[in-house]
Amino acid sequence: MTSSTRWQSAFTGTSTLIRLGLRRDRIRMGAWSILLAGLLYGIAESWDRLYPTALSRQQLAATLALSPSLTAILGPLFDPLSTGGLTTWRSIAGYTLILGLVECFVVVRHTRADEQDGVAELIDSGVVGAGARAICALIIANLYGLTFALLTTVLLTAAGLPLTGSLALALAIAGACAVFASLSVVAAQVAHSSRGANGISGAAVALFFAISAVGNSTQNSPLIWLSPFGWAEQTRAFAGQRWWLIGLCVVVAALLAALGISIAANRDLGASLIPARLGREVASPHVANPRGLAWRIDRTWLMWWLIGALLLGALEGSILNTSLDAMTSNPALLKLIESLGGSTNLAAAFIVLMIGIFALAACGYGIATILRLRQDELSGRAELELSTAITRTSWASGHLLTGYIGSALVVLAGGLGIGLVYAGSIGQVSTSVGHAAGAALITVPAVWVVLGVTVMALGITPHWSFVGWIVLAWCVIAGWFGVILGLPEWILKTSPFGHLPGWPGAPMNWVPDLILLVITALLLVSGLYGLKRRDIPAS
Amino acid sequence: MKDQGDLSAAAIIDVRGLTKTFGDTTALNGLDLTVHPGQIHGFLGPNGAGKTTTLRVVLGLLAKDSGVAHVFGADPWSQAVSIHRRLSYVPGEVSLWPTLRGGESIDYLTRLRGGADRARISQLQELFDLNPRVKVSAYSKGNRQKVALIAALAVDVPLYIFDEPTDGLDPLMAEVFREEVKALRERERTVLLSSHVLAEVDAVCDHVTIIRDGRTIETGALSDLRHLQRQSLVIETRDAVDDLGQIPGVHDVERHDRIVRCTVEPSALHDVLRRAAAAHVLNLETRPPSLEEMFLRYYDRDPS
Ligand SMILES: Nc1ncnc2c1ncn2[C@@H]1O[C@H](COP(=O)(O)OP(=O)(O)OP(=O)(O)O)[C@@H](O)[C@H]1O
Ligand SMILES: [Mg+2]
Repeated sequence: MTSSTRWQSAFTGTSTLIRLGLRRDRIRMGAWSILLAGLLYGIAESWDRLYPTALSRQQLAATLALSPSLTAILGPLFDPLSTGGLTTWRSIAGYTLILGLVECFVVVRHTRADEQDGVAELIDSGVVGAGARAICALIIANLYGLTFALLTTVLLTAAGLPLTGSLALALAIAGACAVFASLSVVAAQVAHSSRGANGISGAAVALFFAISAVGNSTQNSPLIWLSPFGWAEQTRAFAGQRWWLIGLCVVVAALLAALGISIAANRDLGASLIPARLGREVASPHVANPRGLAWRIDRTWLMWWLIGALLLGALEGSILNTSLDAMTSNPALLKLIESLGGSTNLAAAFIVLMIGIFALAACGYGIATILRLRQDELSGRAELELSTAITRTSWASGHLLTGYIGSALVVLAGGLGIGLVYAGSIGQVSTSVGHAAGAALITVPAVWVVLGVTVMALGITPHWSFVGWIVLAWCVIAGWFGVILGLPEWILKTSPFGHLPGWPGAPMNWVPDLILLVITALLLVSGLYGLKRRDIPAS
Repeated sequence: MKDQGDLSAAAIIDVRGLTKTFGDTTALNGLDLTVHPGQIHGFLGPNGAGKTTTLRVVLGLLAKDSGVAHVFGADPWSQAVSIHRRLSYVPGEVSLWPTLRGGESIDYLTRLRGGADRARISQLQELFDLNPRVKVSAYSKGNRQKVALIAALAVDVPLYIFDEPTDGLDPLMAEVFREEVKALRERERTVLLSSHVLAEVDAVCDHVTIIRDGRTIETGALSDLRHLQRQSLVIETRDAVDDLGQIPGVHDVERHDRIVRCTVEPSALHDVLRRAAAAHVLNLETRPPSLEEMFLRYYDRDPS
């Protein structure tokens, strides 16, 4: 085949593929858009209740000026007086982060993961070209962004916000996420496995988040221009829109997409830029049972999680340090932090707040690791293992251990990162490391409850084993948006994180942790019992 | 009933009246399967007949709805682990851990089965022409199949269960597999082999159970079953033969000059040969029915 016909035929079947992909993803797409846009509507509605007067909003802005650490994470507040400005400030970074990750995973699922599972072989051997899959993945990912943008614009205008601002906010988020989606098309060509591709894209998104966080924490830093997070924030929705920044996102996304698609169209199926090396012929002696295998499979990915958590923790620690220098005991700031779940001791409150973020991330790590059992079941690997002389409990124990212990280590690594750097700058190593590590460990039982829900679903209602993700989404909403949405206390308490004592920001109380550990044990036992009693593969 | 009980006591796999439903689908509907020690037992049926489901019940992966299932005299659902110590299984769809090398996967699976001789593993890798240092994600379907086959054949156990083992292997490798099964027969191991590749059952099995729609429709020694079947005859005679088509049990009669081809049921064989002999036989070829013909007949799709 000449290279030009190869190039043309690389794209045949794109439309069929998109239809197929949409059928696979339409429910997920709708659910994410409704969830994210609905939440944004709730945030927009909250400001008149929380900060009803112009004076209170000006006070908020003045407070924020004193707290670079909050600005670092959330981005700058361009117009404190308008509801739209406040909504943008509160949501844009978090939304770009979440939707960006979602789009990356969608792209990988439709490219590298399909290829790895052999679905792509079927597709490619039919009437579908090699580049078509990359294009299709990209289009579907961007449809996530666009449905979100459409729904958001509708809901925000319904909440009484101006149309231009609403559109700018929605498109700024969708635009930045388009860059991430294109990036992960490239990652899917570079990496050999879907987990590698997910890892590279996730790390890239986290890195860009960190770059803009550092940029935001100091005045006039050029760093903000190096990150799509910065571009989205600097679009200044509801504060004199700078539309060209959305254009910049589109151009960068298109360039990256072209790069990824051309690699896809020209490489062999299954091949990657980082080639699969020839490796050992004999398995290490540890790979003799499911625990050994799970460690062999999960260790690299756990290591990256730990390095990432440590670095992000260190970053937060350094931001914490600069910001605390500027802080006085400001009642307005305290109120703000309290609304995010913190307490009245500022430094401690920040530590608890940030460890809360690591805990949610650790839940993500743990759920994904434990659900590997479900993937093993669906792919038939479990059938192969379970036809040998191991019990079902032993089979499950591998990824359960790496999931449970690994998630605890992720929180701890984040805590250590914060504690070490923060301590290094204020010179109280033992106190701050002790506080941060302790705060991390106290959070672990709540993480384990979320993992326990996943295990129980896996054992008892395997077709619903994804409920762990829903529980996690609920914990994010309750913990981060619950107060601002004005949800009643008892609803917030349905999240296991709502019961944590908040030490060192508040007095220590062991009872909630003990209860959470008991619940974890019950969930685990019921899940393993269900697993023993059911068909594998589940019918 | 008594002698049946005695017989089945000796059976390695004893399945009677097995039923299993998945929601509205009835996958197994009173299936019987008996495998005695030393048999190379073919398990034949069209797509969706219930072969895989039966094997999964036998392995204790699926719970049966009703009926009897015993393996080594024990209940596979409650005593799966002790049964599994004595068998080796290759599923129909082999999926492996993408980040592992082929060799690591083989080691892992054999270690789960209690360990295997390294020299034996190397020998099988050579026979099946598998590069064990390649990552599994780079393997073709056939190579993944080889990994599972090597891991199963490398251990020495009384019972081997294969679900469509040569699906995805090229003819050369399928032949290697058949040789291995013959070696198992010589070592008096028991093999249960599901397939719809008839040539395979024909080539290696001595017993066969044929199922359709979750029910057993025929079972027995391959040689006995053939007896029930038509023979293909080609007869060359000096004189013209009387019309053979009139004899009940004679089918597919074709004439070319003095050469007659037909298929004959065992009951009609005597009459056919007598008439042919009367016309002075010059040459006679007989061929046992291929399993293909036999198989198609069971599914009401006569090949003629
Ligand atoms: N987990 C399941 N859920 C629902 N139906 C199932 C399930 N497993 C099997 N079936 C159905 O049960 C029937 C028997 O399937 P089975 O896989 O045992 O057939 P098979 O003989 O192995 O076919 P093949 O030759 O295609 O492998 C089929 O109709 C199939 O669709
Ligand atoms: Mg089958």
